[in-house]
Amino acid sequence: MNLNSKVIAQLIQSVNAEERDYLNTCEKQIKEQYKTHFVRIFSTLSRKLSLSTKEKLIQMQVSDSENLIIEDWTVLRLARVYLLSLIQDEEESYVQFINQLFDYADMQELVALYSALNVLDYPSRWIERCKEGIRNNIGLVQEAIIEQNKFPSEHLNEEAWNQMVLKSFFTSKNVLKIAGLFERNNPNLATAIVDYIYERHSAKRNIHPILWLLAKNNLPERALSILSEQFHNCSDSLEGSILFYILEENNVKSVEKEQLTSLNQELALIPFSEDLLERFKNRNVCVQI
Amino acid sequence: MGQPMPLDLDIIKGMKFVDPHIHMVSRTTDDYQALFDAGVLLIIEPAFWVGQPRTGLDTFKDYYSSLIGWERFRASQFGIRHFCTIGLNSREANNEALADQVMEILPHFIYKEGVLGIGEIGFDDQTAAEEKYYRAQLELAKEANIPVQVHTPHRDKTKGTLRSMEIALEHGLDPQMVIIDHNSEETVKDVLDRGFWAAFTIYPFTKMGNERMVDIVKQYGSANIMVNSAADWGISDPLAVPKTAALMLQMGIDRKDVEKVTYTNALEAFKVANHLDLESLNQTLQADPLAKFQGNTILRGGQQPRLNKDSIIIS
Repeated sequence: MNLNSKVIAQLIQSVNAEERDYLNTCEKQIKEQYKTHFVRIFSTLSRKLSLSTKEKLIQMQVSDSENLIIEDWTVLRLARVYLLSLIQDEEESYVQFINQLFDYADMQELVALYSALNVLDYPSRWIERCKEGIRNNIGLVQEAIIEQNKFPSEHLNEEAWNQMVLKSFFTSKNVLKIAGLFERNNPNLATAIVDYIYERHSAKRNIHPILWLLAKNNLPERALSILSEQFHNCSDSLEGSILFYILEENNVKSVEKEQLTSLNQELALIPFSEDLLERFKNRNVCVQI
Repeated sequence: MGQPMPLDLDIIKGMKFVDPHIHMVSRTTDDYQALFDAGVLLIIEPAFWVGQPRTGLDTFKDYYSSLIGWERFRASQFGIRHFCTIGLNSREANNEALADQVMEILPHFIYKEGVLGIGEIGFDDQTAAEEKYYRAQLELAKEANIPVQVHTPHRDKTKGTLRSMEIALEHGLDPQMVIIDHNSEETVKDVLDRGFWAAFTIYPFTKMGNERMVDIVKQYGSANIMVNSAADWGISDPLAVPKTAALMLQMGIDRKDVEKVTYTNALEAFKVANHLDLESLNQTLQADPLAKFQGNTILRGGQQPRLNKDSIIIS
């Protein structure tokens, strides 16, 4: 599937003249005979781009990048996704070829391959691959699928989706970077989350505030009392604001008015909004849970 | 020789080391943390024998894949840059049916990120099959213009070492692209005289001891010489490189020579500058270069939390 022209323009702007010429040659060779040239071009790209170019970071407006979410992508990653987008073939040959790339890939190639899921042709053929990638234990590979990737929310069934979301908490991902996190929220996920909350509470480990947000409409009494406890022990303004919003949504009476006011002042709570979540996301702290 | 001496690494505090031969797939997270603490910030893991015969091609494929994937990532979590060399080792060359298949998949791996060269290859029993695949892999290295890490045999070592070098020269390889490994007092002169890199494995009981290594550097100097641990699934010492550096300093070897033997020579021999900006070695590696640990430095110096080993409590 061809990349959007704005994405290509962004890539071209990010490389030097020599690298641009090289990419042009690659494009020609891939379009002429990808089976002969692609593996070499794809693998050796990390040696063809200069050290300063390949690690440069790129951001784009989501409205400009369409089916990709390009936020802090290295030039190497974007260039490889671009090369992948040039391959065209009938279904079986195409799928077999791309599968072979996955089989022999190094870490950065895996990042590019999984980032490209949403621009590969024959999307239904990549669902199993996507699930396998989520089981991969290499942090940056997981991130390429879980964070800033529209493929999972558009193609995974509920069971696989829920596994992915739970895994993102277990592996300390920046969960608010999951595309479709709230749109695909569902009661079965909430049940699993509540179970996880109980386990964390019993183990005296901290509980990620976004877990509460995803399960907020399905919280039994025991969960609500844990939530109150967490709110009272909370010392962080953003986290406190999220927890307070969920308590309010659940009409928790046990939170006494007086206590609330003092906590409110102490924590400088702010009303729940998308902006609040954005701030929480951008804090970009690897929350150890 | 061999009298116990208390371990005091203060003398090497602040120094940086490379271990250019270590099999981390066989080692624990404790070893990674100890390596980091001792200043080993870059390691090279040659593909080797897993300890028992392989029965099919896929185990090679998965093993090579782990060297550029999981193991590389695991190392990064401890603040250590992991590189490897990929090859069919000599023992496994003797299963010709399988070796032929392995030769077909090698080109898929040698250009990958994190792969510095071909290794460890060479002779073990010094059979005809070992020679055949040694030659084939030298050709592969020549074509790709990447270094070769050559294992020399335990048995009939001197003859095997000389033969390894003769064959490399016969195939037109530049000796400066070849690291001859596991040298001893008996082989070092021949290797240096021919212009190859001479690596020494500090490995208890079976290979070099580090007191002997001190004498070698005193006699031959530091040019073209490097030390490694070759730590693996046997009784071996992943801290062999920093310990040897400490001993060399204690024994009066000049710091510049110690740095060459335990750091810069390995970087040069394996052409590491083609793969990363050597300046970056002055900064601690973060597993995720994009991670901004604002105000959160608990995981500084590698990203894995530390166990409190002095406590009976596990939480």
